Amino acid sequence: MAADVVYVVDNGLAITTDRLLDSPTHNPPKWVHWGTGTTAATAADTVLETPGAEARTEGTETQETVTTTNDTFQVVGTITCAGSGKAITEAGLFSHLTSTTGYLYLRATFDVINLNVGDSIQFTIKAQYTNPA
Amino acid sequence: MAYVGHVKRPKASLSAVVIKADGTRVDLGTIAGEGRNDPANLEKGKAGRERLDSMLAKEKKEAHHGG
Repeated sequence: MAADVVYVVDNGLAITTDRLLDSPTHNPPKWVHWGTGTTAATAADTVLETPGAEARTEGTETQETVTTTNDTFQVVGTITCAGSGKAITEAGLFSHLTSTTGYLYLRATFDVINLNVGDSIQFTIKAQYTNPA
Repeated sequence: MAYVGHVKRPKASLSAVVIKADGTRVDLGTIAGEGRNDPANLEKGKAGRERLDSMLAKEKKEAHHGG
């Protein structure tokens, strides 16, 4: 069983501040990917542990309100299982379609979701920015 | 007083809806992060996973018997 953990990783903090610049080097972290790695997510993660063979999906990013107006970055993206059935246990959000290290914004691990070919998962990923309290 | 030496990460969460090949949707609720352990979410997740397991078992049985 994978631990139910989700982190905006250290590199995700760097992507956030980069996006505040006049000319950011990163695209919005809107590409969703999944995998079968079971090591619990940590803040230091830079890639998915065992990424699936499917291509990353470009999700739809929006600002949402949880506590304060527009305090939350949300991405909704769907990936479809191809090739063979899979036991999905991790997901990530990247600022690039294909690049790995240096482009991970968020990684999550969770209880296995078993899929057959043709099945999909629609992920809704949220990161709420709050003042320290 | 300004905050000094206090770093706080964004609160993150991940929700999942499984969409079976035939279009059937199974909502698993929040599977990691904020809200994961809310009683209503745990109930939703448990029900969703039971439904998903049932579908997978049926598909396995049908595949075993040649569809």
